[in-house]
Parts: sequence; C-alpha cells; structure tokens
Amino acid sequence: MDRHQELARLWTRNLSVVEAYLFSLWGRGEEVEELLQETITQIFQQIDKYDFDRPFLPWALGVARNVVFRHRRDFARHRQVYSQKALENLTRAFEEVSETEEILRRSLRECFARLTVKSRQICRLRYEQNLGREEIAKRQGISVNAVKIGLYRLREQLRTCIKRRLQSRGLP
Amino acid sequence: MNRWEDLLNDYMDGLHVPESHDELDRWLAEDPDHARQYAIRMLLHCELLRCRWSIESPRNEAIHQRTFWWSLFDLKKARYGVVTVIALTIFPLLAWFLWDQERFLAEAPPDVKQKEMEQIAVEKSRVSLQEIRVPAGRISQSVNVQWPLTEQRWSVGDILNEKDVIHLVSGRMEVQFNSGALMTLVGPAVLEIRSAYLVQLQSGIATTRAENLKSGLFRIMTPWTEVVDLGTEFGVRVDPKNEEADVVVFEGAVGLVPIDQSSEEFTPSRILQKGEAVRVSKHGRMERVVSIENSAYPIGDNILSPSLKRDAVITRVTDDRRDPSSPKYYRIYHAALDEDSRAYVDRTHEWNGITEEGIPYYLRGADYVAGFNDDKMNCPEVTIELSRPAMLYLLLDDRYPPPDWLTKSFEKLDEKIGLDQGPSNFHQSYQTGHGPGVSIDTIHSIWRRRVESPGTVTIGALPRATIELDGKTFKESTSWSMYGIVAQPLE
Repeated sequence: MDRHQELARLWTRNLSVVEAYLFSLWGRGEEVEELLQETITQIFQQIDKYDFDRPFLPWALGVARNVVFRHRRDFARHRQVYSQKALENLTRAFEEVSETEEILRRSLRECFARLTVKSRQICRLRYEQNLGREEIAKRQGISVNAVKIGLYRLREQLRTCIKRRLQSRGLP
Repeated sequence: MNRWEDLLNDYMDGLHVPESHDELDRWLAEDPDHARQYAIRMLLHCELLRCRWSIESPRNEAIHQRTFWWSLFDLKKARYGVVTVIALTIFPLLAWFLWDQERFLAEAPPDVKQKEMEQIAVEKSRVSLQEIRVPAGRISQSVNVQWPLTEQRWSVGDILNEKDVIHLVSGRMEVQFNSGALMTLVGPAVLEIRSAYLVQLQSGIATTRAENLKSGLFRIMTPWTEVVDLGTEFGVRVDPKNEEADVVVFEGAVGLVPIDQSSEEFTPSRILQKGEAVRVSKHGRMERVVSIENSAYPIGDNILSPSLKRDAVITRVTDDRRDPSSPKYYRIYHAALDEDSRAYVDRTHEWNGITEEGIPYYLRGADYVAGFNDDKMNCPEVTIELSRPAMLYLLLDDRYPPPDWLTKSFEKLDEKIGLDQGPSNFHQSYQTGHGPGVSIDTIHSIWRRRVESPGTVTIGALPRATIELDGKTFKESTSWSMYGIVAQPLE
C-alpha cells in the first residue's frame, strides 16, 4: 500500500482518539477543530519522518501535543496547563483506550437505542443542537441543575452500558 | 455525583473554571486509572459531538402513513374504508368482551396491570437499531434539479444519512456535511454517502470546500483514484464512459492515491497543489489537465449563478510547457471579468480599475484566462482557442518592456487596469482590498488585437526581463506580474 494511502487509513482509524486527546488538553470545542486540522496537516507534512513499522497513535498524539504547545501562550492564559505527571498519565491512557475505541463506537449505537425518551431528548439538545445547559433548561422548562443531573445520568447510562459490553468481550 | 464527576461534567459542558483545573490536574496525576476513566469519558463525549446521534424515521414511510390515515377521513375517496375499519375494529372487541367479560375483568388485578403498562411504556420508549440512522450532512441548496423516476428525490433541508445514494439527473445541489465540508454536486451525477468524512463519487462533478473541517480529513473515492483533502478547495470530475477522473485544486492541496497500483502505467500517489490538475485513467496513469472552465466547478455563491447569457468565446488554452512534474492548469472564466476578479490560479491577486471609475467598459463581462503568475520567471508560449470572431486583449505589467511579437500584432490602448495583490512569498503582508481604485499595487497596460475568424491565436513567451539599478543590470525582477488574457466577442 502507498505511504499516503496508509497514512490516511491510519489517521481515519485514530482520529477520534486524537480529537478526544486534544479536547482533553484544550477544552474549548471550537478551537479543538482548528487544532485537529493543524495536526492532520503536520502529520502529512512529516510523512517522511514517520516510521511505518512503529505504532501510529503515540506518534500522532506527540504531533497533537506539539501543536497544543505551539499555542502555549493562549494555553497559559487560560491556565489549561497540565503537570508533567498528569500529562504522562493522560497520554498513556489515550494510547490504551484506543484499543477499545472501535468497540466503544459500535456499542454506542446499541446503547443509544436503550436510552429512555427523556435521555434521548436531552442528548439531542446537547449534542445534535449543541446547546448549553441554560438553553436546554429554558427550552425544557426545567432548572439548570435538573439539566446538569440529566446530562450526568445520560452519560453514565451510556458509559455503564458500553462498559458492560467491553467487559463481555474481556476488555477492561 | 462526586466532586471529580462534577468537574468532568462541567468540563464537557464548557463550564470549567481555571480554579477547578488544578483540582483536575491533581486527580489525573494521582492515579493512572483516573486518567483512563477520564479518557473514556472524553472519547464518548467527542463521539457524541462528532456524530450528532439522532433518530430519524424514514421520511417516505412517515408520509405514507399520514396519507393513508388521512385518506380514511376523506369521504369522497374512502367512505367505505371508514365503515370497514370501524366495523373490523370495534365489533370483534365488543363481542369478545360480552362473551368472556368475567375472565377479562378478573385476570388483571390492578397492580399487575399497572406493572404491565409501565413495562410497555418503557419498551415503547426504546427504539430499534433500524430507526437510528447516523446523519452525515444536509442538503443546503439546489438549482434546477431533476431526479430519475425510480430513485429517491431530495429536497433542500433533507438530512443525508450514511449509505444514502444521490442520483442527480441534472442541475446543481449543495451538501453541507457534518464534518464541515461543503460540496456542490453537478448532474448528471451519482454520489454515495459513506460518512460525514467519506463519499464515493461514481459519476459527475463534485466541488468541495473543506478548509474548515470540524475534524480529520475529507476523502472522495472515485472508481480510479482516492482524493484526500489536506485543507483545501478542489473539484473532482468522474467520467465513467471514458473511465477517467479529473482532479483540480483551487486552494490548498490534496493527496492523490490511484486505486489500481498493479498496472504498469500507474503513477505513484502524489500531492497536488493549488493551481494544479490531473486526469487519472482507470490504470492509474496521471496526465496534466491543461485548462478548465470555471463554471464547471461551482461552489458557494457560484452555485446560484445564472446560466451564461452568451456562448463562450475562449474555449481552450494550451501551452508548450513540457515539464511533466508540473501539472499547471489555466482556468477559463466565461463572461465574468469584473472588479475583484481572480487574476491567477496560484495567487489571490485581483483585477480592478485603477480609479473609482472601475475597469474599462469594454473589458467588463469578457471571457478571461487565469494563468500562473509564476510563469513570469519561465514564460511559455500560450495558444488560445476562440469559438468566434473576437477582440483579444492582453494585460501587460507596465514595468515589462513590450516584446516584439506584442508590438507587431497588438495595438496599445490609452486605458490601464490595476492588479490588487494578495500575499505571496515576496510580499507576505499584502492583502487584497474590495472594489475599484482600492489597494492597487501594479498597473497593467491594455493591448488589443482583432481576430476576425474563429480559430487559434498564439501568444509569444515573455523574454526574461532586465532591470537597471544604480548602473547595474539585473537579469529579471521576481516582483513583476504575468500578463492576463481577455476576449470579448465582436458584435
């Protein structure tokens, strides 16, 4: 297989993990999109530096981390700087969970189907329409705290359901 | 909800504050398992954000159901239907109740009935997997579209889900993908949606703007090549009859990967830059596309452009360039020259009037060719194919000494046209302005030649110019600009 084709394949397979990693380092969703675009550009520009015999994700996470560090001035202003130890744990965690990412994504579809009407409604407002807690509360005629709890329950329901599926496949 | 779950949920909802970040940091540093739990939650959150999970009822089925039930109340159409449905529904139930009413009432104690009803309510609140369709995008505009009788017809606002296939007979349709990519499809075309990031173009023309992707990279598969977006605007034309695909880059760059790499003819995959275009054969061989028509690849506001008021004057452009590693193309704009018209394919420079009066009236609405500004360093001989008698204009940078072939066959006019330069390697701080007389950087003189019959006209190469500074002669100036070519039909 051609190098560019192989790199595109590897990137497509791992982009969810890199995106989540960037989000966990940066926090602000709208800027994560730009960082991700910069990461992919860097990865393709550095194709000659990549050793295809070595695992892709640690290299990609390294490129993503460097992209974040390049924007460090902004980063420091918002005090979103992790300590060395936290960053190490985080990077290793993302490398590990990447093995379960594909199953996670497939399980999500099944777990989503098991949600109650109320949870699906709140999910649609938060994730499909990208609304904040206050806006959801206004639309639903409930308190912001009730939305916060509703979102927490929704995420927990999905996480527990996915965890059960991962465990049934012998994964941690 | 404990403290760290509270922190994580605030983080996912964009409500984290700097003070809580230190707390989160300590928690992550404390135990690798904490980081793992955090990573799984972030993956889940991003997946929900990225895919925008939703539940869609099949549209046609819903319409069909609505039509059927409403038809029962249309007495003119279905007066017998109403009677039949009432009779079939009510009478058996009534008969059963009267026949076995004791058992009916005795078998369902209130608490059991309540539990059953609750169970049914819970089951009803769940949906089957078939009902969940992963949306990939939405149809945002359409112009004069026609659909085959046997295939699905799409409307503006319709959601496109993974595995949907668009069969467009004619017209133009715009799709806004959830990944952020914007695509215009020109019919006849067949497009299969694989996801918000991947489509298969089986035939037709698709122009894509993918510069602000929400994540990752956008890819278009064709039967003969895979086109990988690297932050760009590009066009793909698939011609199943001739078994070839054209790929044209308007901004940024794309990666090209031929599908059939077993053939002896195949060209290894390559990156195409702005201003480059290739034709890929079914065996993976890549050849330069020398010129393209701008209107063939509409995107953004251009999708609504009215059809041409007249036939094209410039139909083709070729040159004597021989370098196979440089697949540069000429972009032909029909009836389009106006203020702020893009001048070159490799720069964002624009043509403008040098004063507020604007560009000379006889150039307005003319056909013109956007070539390579970099050709000023190594100018080729260019041949223009004209479909009808025309006035041919050449716009030459005033700093260039006019070459002999120009003074012999063209006439110099008194009017001038300006070039408003965008950023380049030499002038990185330059920005284009808007409208005539604004931000004009270089002045071009206008030369004309009357061409009485259709055919080809060859424009000579520009000799390597020299300039003198402080008594010294320099071979060339890289700051000068390449000429422009314009044609207006003769009345």
